[in-house]
Amino acid sequence: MLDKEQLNQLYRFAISLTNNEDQSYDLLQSCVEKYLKVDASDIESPIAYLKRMIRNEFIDQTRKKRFYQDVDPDALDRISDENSLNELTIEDVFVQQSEVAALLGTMQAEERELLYLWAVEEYTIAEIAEIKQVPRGTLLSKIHRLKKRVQLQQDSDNVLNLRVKS
Amino acid sequence: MNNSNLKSIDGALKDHYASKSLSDKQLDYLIAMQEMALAPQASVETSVGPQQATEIDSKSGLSRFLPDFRGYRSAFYATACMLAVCLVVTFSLINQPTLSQRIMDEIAYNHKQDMPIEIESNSVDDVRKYLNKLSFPIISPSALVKANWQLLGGRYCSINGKLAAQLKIKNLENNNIYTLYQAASESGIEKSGATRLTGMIDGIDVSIWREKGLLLGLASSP
Repeated sequence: MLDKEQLNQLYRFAISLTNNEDQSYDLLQSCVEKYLKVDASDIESPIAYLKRMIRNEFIDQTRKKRFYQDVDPDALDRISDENSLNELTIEDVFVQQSEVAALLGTMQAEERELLYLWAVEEYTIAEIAEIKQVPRGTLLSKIHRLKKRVQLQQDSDNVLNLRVKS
Repeated sequence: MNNSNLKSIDGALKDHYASKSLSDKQLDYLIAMQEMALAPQASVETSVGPQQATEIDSKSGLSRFLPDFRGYRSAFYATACMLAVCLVVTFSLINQPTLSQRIMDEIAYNHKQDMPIEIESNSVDDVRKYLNKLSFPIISPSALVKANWQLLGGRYCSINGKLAAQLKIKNLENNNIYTLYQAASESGIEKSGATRLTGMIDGIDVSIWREKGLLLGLASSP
């Protein structure tokens, strides 16, 4: 049975996808209901299982909005060098706490999830790539674009104007 | 932008998400939902307050009694609809008047119309010849003693949607006018097994019976 801490953990993960608290609760409730109906005896990690359920359910709900974004080929070209990919990090990016919510609002669901898994769940990029079943280079490309976006924010007074094409 | 307020993005994200939590009510509901699933027979009131239990009950509906109800909800509603339709059809069939009753109603109606006769004659042969579109020859019913009755004439009419004869006859004992009906025999009357059915319909005394393969009916006003 999931305790309060685990439920909150899943709720925050859902928020990273939806960026909406009500929608996150509905998503969580729906997935917990479904989880309770499956045979959980073979499930090693209920949290990981439920995260996949939440993610899949969210994708189903937002399929028309195109959850997956194509990777910008120009961005891939710019970071095609393997050494530069390995050195690419976002720890050196700094933001104001009061602007985090607005910054997340300018991001796509997949980008918010990536940041959440990395910053809050503290997965490495390689681990996230394994969890999400996507190539590591694709994630690094996204990080590159995110970093650029945040840097643009630092040069601007208006966070809501940060919707730029990388 | 004041750089003194800047913090690393991972720390800022941690703080941002740490500020997001489920409310106590939401947590109670999710935990109660799990407890119900793990022990369906247990009462919800044991884990949450009565008010919350009411909310849970209203949300889960039939799922409270049937945990997998959602899975075949459509089939359940479809079956319920079909059952309701069957009940309505059965009820209407049960309440539908029998063939004998419908024929007696129709005879009473025809009698009350008091339509004029098309051929005026005291002879059965004459009337029989005039009503030559009938699929049967009209007869002199044995149930009516010839000496007591006088044929006045006849006309076509309809009994149960089929062409029939309406004969106007006079009872010589009391001078009352009766209408006598003759139609091809209905299978429903044969199955009833009754030799003669009588009844009072809308103030008209009606009786029907079978004779020589025909359906006969007699109607009179009181």
